Amino acid sequence: MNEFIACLLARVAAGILHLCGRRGTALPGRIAEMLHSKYLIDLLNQIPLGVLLVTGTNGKTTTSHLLAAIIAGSGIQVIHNASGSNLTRGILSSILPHCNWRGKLVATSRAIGVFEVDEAVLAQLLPSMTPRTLVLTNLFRDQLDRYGELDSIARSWSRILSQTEGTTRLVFNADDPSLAFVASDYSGEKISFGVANHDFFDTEPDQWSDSSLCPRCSNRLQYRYCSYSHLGDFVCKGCGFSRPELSYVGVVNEIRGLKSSRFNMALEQELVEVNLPLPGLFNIYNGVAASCAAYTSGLGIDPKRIPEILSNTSSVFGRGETFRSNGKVMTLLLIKNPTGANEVIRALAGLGNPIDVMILLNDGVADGQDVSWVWDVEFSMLELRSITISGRRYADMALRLKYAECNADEFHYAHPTVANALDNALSVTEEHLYVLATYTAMLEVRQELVSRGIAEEYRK
Amino acid sequence: MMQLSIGHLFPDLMNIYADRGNVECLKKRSEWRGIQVSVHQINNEMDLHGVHVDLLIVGGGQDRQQLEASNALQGAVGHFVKHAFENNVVMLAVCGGFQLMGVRYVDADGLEIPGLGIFDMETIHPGRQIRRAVGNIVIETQKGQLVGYENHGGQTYLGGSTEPLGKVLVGHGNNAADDTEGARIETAYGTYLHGSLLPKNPHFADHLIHLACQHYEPGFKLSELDDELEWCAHNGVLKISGRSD
Repeated sequence: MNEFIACLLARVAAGILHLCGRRGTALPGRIAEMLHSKYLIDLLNQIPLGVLLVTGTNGKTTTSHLLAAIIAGSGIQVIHNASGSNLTRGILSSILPHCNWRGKLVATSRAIGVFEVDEAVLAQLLPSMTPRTLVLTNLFRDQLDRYGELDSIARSWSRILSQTEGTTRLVFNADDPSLAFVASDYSGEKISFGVANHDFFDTEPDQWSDSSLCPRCSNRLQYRYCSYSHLGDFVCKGCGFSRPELSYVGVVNEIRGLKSSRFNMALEQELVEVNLPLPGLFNIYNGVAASCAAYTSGLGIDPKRIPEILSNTSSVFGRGETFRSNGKVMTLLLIKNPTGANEVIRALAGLGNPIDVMILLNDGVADGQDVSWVWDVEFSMLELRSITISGRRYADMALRLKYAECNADEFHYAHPTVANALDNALSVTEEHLYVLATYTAMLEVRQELVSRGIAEEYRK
Repeated sequence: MMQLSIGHLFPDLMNIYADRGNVECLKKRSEWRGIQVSVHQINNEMDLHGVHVDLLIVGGGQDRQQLEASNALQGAVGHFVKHAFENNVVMLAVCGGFQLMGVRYVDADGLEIPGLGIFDMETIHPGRQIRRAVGNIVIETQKGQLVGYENHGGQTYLGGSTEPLGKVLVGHGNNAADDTEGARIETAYGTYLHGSLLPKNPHFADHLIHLACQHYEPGFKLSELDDELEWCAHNGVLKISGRSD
């Protein structure tokens, strides 16, 4: 009975939102949750083939999107929170459309759940449900006001994993020392992945990297190579803790800036080459994570089909999505923490010529209310033609660029509406506008693009 | 020509709250006035013989990194910092770095981490179950209002010989018991304010640069800079904190 009422009212809310031209990525779930607190857990436990969860600081949305695509390519029904709404209410909202009028899940016997989950929310789901696979992408500093320090997140993941009693398959980024440490204590099945090719990498972690100490003994880590931030082939000279042997390695062949990349990967006997149409090195990690999580899922995924599926994917919801408007091109890039933002800046700098950029800095709860992090982003790498700055904390952003001595012929900053800022940025853009936005600002820009008929509503 | 040397203490350990912006701000605001600046990393892997600094800056770090920094302060780095303080080097210590400049810090697990004792103060972490002091903060100091963002679990209590940097107008400050924020003694300043602090408090940044320059040339005057953006960001924090007129 409970689920009937919860589901009914949530659907009414979703219907009203739809009539208002809004996507209901969270509210329906929130209503259902208020009426039936265990509803999400009940539904997750009803999914016939179980659930794969993806968490970590960066790459959750893209990794789970790629994972869902690979699995769906094998004819399996995938229930998935594609919009990146990853709190319990967002996951619930994405399952509700698969429920009947009584609020029970209706799915084929070959249906699986692929959900990205906020790193702090994971503890609310486990141990009430046991995922088939848990993918840990990486652990960077992010929104310290909300998540706390990295060590406390790693501690909570270790605790959560110990409660699964080893029944969950752990797929983890072994290039990340904190994740390797979390995994080292885990008693269940472990699949490690990483990225290799010395030609592309340094031997020193980036100076803004935030985890230079051994997670076991606190000595300084040494790197044979470092792919970005603190990810790489690490070893501790103090206690010998080092990167675990990799079960799956993505060997980088080429990175074509924001456009795409190419990497090789051996899936047992099969060596596959993937052309990934997504920006930057960080997406190679996402591609490798999704491939090995799918391949080891026990769902009978054919490795030969993975390259084709990955090469046909496109950027997801504000993570490199490209739009066209009046002869100009626009790329929307989410920035939310120093590591992610620095990788985006690095990819933009790789374009090699002065570019038109708009940056939107908000300080909502979902953005992180502390905007200090922009001082750890190397904006000085950017060569700008024009820059338009807006968002609630536009002045902090403009000030950061001033001290990075980012000069541009056109330097505009103010806090008008997103619509005004967008008009201004487009008017001074030659061909291609790169829009860097924090989470809530990204939602605002996207909504504005939808209302102008430039972007489509994101599919649920 | 005036030349300044900035020491960045533990840039790789005490780096998580982006306090690097303070070093960048001091450097740029000096250079924009024609003052030459060199920046030196100060940590226990450096040979500190013959290294001279005019300004010494340290930021906030995670608990584990803070413990490492505390260990390093027991050795040559600690001597270097104390020597700098005794020679009136201008110091700015933020958050975890500030806590390390007190007499001691007792962390969330009850572990006692010794500090350098430059400020007469101690910091006690009341435990992980107690809410951290997190949010925008505005304080009133002798040099005017300062704005920033605080995020700390430790509660700091000042002893008799150390004055607070300022009085809390919005936010938490040193502890829940009084309205003090930060500490100052001679030319050493400690505070919980991130943001980064100095870029959006240009008057305070200039005060530090001015102190360092006066060390060489009493009566030295800093030239004016165009600080429209700096004050715009400063006033932005006042506004969201409900303190704007």
